[in-house]
Amino acid sequence: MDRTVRLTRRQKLGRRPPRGSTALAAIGASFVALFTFYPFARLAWRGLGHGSGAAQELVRSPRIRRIAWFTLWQSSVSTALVIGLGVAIAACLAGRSFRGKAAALALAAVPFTLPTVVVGTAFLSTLPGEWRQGRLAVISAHVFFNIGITTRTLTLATERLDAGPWEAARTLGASTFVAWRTVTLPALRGTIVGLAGLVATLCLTSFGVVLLLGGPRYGTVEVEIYRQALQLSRIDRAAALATMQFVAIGGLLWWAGRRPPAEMATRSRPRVVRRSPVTFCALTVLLAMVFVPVTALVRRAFRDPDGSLGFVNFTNLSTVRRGTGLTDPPLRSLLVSVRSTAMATALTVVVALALVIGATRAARPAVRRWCERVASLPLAVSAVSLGLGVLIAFSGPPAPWRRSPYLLPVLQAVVCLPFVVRTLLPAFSQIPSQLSSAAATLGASPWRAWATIDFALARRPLALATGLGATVALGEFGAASLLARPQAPTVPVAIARLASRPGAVVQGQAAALAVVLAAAATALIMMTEHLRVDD
Amino acid sequence: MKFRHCLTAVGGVALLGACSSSAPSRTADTTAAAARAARTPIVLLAYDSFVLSKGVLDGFTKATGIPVKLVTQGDAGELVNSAVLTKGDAESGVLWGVDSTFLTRAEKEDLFVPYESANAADLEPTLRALSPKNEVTPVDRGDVCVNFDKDALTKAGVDAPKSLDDLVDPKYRGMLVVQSPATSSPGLAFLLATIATYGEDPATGWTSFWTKLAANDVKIVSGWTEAYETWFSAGGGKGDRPLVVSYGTSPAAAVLFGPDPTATTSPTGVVESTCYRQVEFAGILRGRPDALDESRELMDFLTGPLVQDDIQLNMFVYPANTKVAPAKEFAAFGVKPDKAAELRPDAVDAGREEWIDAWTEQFG
Repeated sequence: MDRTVRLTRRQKLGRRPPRGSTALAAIGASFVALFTFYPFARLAWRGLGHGSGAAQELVRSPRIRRIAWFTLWQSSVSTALVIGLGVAIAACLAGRSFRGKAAALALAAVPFTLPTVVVGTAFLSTLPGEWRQGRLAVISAHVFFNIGITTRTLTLATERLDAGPWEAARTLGASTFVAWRTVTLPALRGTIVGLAGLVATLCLTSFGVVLLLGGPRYGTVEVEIYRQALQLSRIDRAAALATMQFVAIGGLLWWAGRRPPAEMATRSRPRVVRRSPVTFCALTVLLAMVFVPVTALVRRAFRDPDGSLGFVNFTNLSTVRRGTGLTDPPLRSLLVSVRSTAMATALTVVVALALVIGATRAARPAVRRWCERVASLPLAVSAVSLGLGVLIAFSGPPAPWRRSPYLLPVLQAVVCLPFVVRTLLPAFSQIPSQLSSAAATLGASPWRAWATIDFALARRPLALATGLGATVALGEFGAASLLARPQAPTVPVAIARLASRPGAVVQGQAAALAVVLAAAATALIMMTEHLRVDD
Repeated sequence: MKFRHCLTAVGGVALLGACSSSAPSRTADTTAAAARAARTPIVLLAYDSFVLSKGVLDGFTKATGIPVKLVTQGDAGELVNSAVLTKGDAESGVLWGVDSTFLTRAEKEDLFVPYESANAADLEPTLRALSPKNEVTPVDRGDVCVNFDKDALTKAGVDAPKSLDDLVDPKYRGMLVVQSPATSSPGLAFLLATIATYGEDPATGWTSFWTKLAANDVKIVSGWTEAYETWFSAGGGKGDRPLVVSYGTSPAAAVLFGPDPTATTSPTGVVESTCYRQVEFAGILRGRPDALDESRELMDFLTGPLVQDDIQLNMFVYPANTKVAPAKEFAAFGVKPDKAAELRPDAVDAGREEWIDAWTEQFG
């Protein structure tokens, strides 16, 4: 019996063994299913299982229609702006090499990792009076939050493109712009569509920004789900809304994942060391968009409670004031965050690897696309829906994990997963299969071949993905704020609690802690950027 | 065997010792240790802003042997509604933070095991009357009131407003910032204050007041933080609105958390007649029949003098226990209006959704 199995495996060596990898993909997928779809299904069942007619009621309500319309509208406009600007800026930055580029790209991605409450408040204070609330405020905040990560991803993707077609076009006399339009842009289409799907999803499910900047008039579906479930006790309506949202976003992501992202080149375009006004302008636009609010935040952090400049807010972080909603000094939340981030990152990388290996080693390309989509679907279950689902699903048997200290890192891992998989998948899928085949021919076992070839070649993307995962986990606010939690808040939650108290001292502490978080996130991103530069 | 008999004997002596006040301390320690081993750990569920001074809960555990794990969850509305969603959760114990607007909802869902606290006689009778069947026990009260920035009003050359009516006076045009009742608990309290004051008549009721308020350029924001810290002129953001909906104890907080905690006057004041009373309750959640005694002891502790005094400066609320003196900071800077607007909990429960929807349609 044993012998037969071994023979079969050996027979399959020549064309990569799908069996073990399918099992791996299945393990990854069940993790996603257990911590995303199961809670969501319980929420949907709780609200809709008894046929209360909530869905019909919602469709008829003019208020809900207005909310749905605003949700779609703001998300489309924000996405169009982010992608348009991002593509333009990336086109100017890609392929150029100049001092401080890595740092600039890293800084631009920082807002993405900060809790919306803090940056939102800082953002508010930089806007002129009547702009502070309403449609314009929501859209500009969404652009601000997403432009950095979009530009960074597009710049990296452009620089990874194969140099051949571009050089051919240039040799044949195409101008830089024509070469970009006819060679680079079509090659990037998959990446751009994928990014657009991601940004649209983030804007569609945006909660903090809309609550803070939309004002009472401009609510989104996400805010309405929260309101119906946790303020008005209409869990049936909340579930109906959450289901509609899930179907819409799931469809969007499925569509956006249809086209494969740009292939990684074996030889990419050499970097040009040249200063050009275009690059300078692009960089200025990018940094201005990101920096104005961040500067406001930093200024706030260095303004002492008595109004003068100084470090008092930072030294205050080691003391706890009565009535601030915290029982320990705010600095302690750093420890909590570091622990939770480390666990979440480790977990998310393991699960992502399982999915990615499953995807890349699968014999059929359909399985690969499927794995990729499963990994991005947690995005379709918004933070509020996930929080409600977790409350229902993990209270009591069969899975009484709601109060487990491990639930938060696990949920954060689910939240990070789409980002990590998106980084890993292109890297792993572009490793030429001939190398493994050669190793197999020479007698290496499939996993040995994987460890010495695939893993070795993908080490840097793996480090990058780990860094990205850690950054997302560090700034994660949705799951952390909706979960029942003991007196050990993570940094974003601690900031939000401090920021919701009156008094210059507490507000100063909130700003200072936010600056600490921003610095940590920047450091993480720069470390991964550094790895890339070494490449 | 002999050894075990010996232990039993010591245990018996210890138990006897516990009943006599002259027991040597060492025996008492043994009792405490024995008790600790025997008592069931319980959870105290509260809203995010629930804070006791360090060591207070540990003191309870030391005295009774009952380990308590504090778990916090969202604001008051979120807390009650998630308790409804997780009803029967095997880990629940005592819940702190049902407020008067969610009381009826909690009672309808039958969330709590009725219990008359050992401190019941000391608790304010008017507050206790809100839950006549003792399903929940009042633990604190606070008021949501319009606050004003003294300096800014002086600079603008106007006196502080005296009533809700004053707020629609053109004198105070563009000065007030309030929170949306759809997304904020003080915002809802302010809406309820206007409903309690003006009634529901379409011509003269709250909608007509709000129409005038809107015409007087009121600013409506989503939450307390934006209102106080971004728009209010005495808040951290140095906004340009000298009037804000906040709490009756906010002037005390403005001093204690201000640049000079020893100041003798507060930069802000309260318009007393605009106050709406919020009462908060605690109750024993169903779902843990094995820990009923432990939960009852915790309830007595929460309504007792130690906790009732401790919550004042931690959460800026007034104690429900009349034997506890209000904090001196409250007496100096805050207000405790004798007559605050109030609606019956069942009236709020019945009207809330409709009022909020009507408000959002017209003014949101």
